[in-house]
Amino acid sequence: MRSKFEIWVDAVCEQVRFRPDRKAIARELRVHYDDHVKDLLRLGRSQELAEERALAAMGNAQEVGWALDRVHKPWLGWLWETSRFLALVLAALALVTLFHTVGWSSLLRRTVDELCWEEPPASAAKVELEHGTLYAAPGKVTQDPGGQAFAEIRLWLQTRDPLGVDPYYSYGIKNWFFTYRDERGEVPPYEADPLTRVAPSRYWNALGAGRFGWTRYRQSVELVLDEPPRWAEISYPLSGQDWTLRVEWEAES
Amino acid sequence: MKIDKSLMSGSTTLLVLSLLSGEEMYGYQMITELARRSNHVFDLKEGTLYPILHGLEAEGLVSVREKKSPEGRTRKYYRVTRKGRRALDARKEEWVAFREQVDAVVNSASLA
Amino acid sequence: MRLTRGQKTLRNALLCILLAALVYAMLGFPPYTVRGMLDRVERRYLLSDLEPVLVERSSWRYSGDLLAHHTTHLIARTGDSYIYTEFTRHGLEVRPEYRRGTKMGRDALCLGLNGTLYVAGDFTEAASAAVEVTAQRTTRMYDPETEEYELVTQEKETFSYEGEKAGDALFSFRYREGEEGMTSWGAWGPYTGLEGAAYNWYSSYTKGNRDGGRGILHGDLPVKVTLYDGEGGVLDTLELSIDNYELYGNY
Repeated sequence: MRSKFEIWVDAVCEQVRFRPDRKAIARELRVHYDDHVKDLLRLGRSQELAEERALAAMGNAQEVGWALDRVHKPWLGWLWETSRFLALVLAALALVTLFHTVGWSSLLRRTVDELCWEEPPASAAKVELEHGTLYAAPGKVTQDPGGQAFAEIRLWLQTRDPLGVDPYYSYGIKNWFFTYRDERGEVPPYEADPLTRVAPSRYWNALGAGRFGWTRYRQSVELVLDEPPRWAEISYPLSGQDWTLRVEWEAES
Repeated sequence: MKIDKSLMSGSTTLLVLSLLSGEEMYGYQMITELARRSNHVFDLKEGTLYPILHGLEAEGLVSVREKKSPEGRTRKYYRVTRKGRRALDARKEEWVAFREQVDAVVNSASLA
Repeated sequence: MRLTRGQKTLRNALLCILLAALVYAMLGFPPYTVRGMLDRVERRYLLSDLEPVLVERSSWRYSGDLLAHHTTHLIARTGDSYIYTEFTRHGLEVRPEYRRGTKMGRDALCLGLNGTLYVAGDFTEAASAAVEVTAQRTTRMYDPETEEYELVTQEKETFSYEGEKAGDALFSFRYREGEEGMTSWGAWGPYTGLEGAAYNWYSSYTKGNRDGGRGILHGDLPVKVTLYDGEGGVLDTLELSIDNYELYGNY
């Protein structure tokens, strides 16, 4: 049979609506009761009398229970439990993401790329667009002996808001749908002939990996031509925007 | 002499905080200490001490930790926090002012 | 310093916000809504004011995937420019251009998607539309000895479909014949009609390769769209093209 005190404790705990706290409350009250009983025994009371006196001293179970329930607010209790659970889940998620190929490397790489930003030269052609500014400047021109000419166009993009990461674009931004032309006409993108698989003699190609920060991007494009160009123009007719960026190479004399 | 319950209720917080201001204590210890210091005048129902303590803890006036007592029982020990100490000082001032006003009224009434 | 339950809750909530922000940043601020995806496309391709024309979602799994991949195919327009792109979500990650590349078109754009050909354009005045897609049997042979390619083109066939209007800027043409989806043994079912031509007619072989390995050649199929007004008079025709890879399969 359960002791009278156990029944009292249960009556107290029943009033506490936030169940997770009940165990600790019961434990604390039990320790208190045991202390009191022991004290009374030490004073020479009989076990029975000591238990009765100690229990009587505890007061009305319902009153104590109600008062405890007011302090152990269930909404706060559950909010706290939920916040703890959520924090744990999110911490686990953060760890998983961190050690996943995406999180760590992209965070680091993009931040490094954001910081390793070299300003476009003052002479660079630029166009202000809704989401940022695009710059273009001439790069190196080289020529194979008796063969193709390679003209580098350097592009910078600085956006107002961070462009979401594309962790999988390990090669940065390459395929804008720009149109390139030089003084001899349009320069198409690289596409091998389906029959001969031979590259066309005039085409453009993305050059290198570029830099892909949070708001700052760098990419070079290479025009592969028969002869070194004097100038090149970049435009974006597919988008319906009518701007042109022009880069000019100084003639070697 | 026993004190009327309604007189007690307003001052329990003050009593509990002052008890704890000296050292950290567990619940039963506080009851015995209270009885000793007040010559058994304050007869707090022991169960009602815990809602008060838990309420003070929720307000951040006392902090609690579990500790093994010398005889090997795990007890919850309460102690006053810095915030609790400030609250105690404020309550004390209130109490002193209150007592003076009560005295003034009571004494003038007895003189009349 | 010991915290009360209320303070702990507050601390946990702040921790949650911090961790969520960290996770979101590590994932690269992935977009989960169509608007978010369009904003991303706008910044990525230097566009503005994109409005959605087609939003088509599909879910699929790799074998052994715990979580499904959810692909959102989008056609959007700004002015008379059209762009198709796709985002694939797997768990919390969102990868752009995971299954297919992005396409852009001026005045019109067509897209083959899971047995339906979509054509986007300004179709405010068109009441109905028909499409003709022409496939031609094309085989490329590679001779490793001479390192030369030989291209053989054979018969042509034109497939015609009636369109269904889906808003001011979109017609859809269902071209899949027979059963939806693929055979029980996977994604390479016995296609018929246009889907079959797109899959079976474009091949590349290597001479002397005895295991019969067939590569599927990329081919551009001409797409001719005829727009009709309410009385059945021809309003306009559009000449577009589509890659055969878009026309078969369900990705």
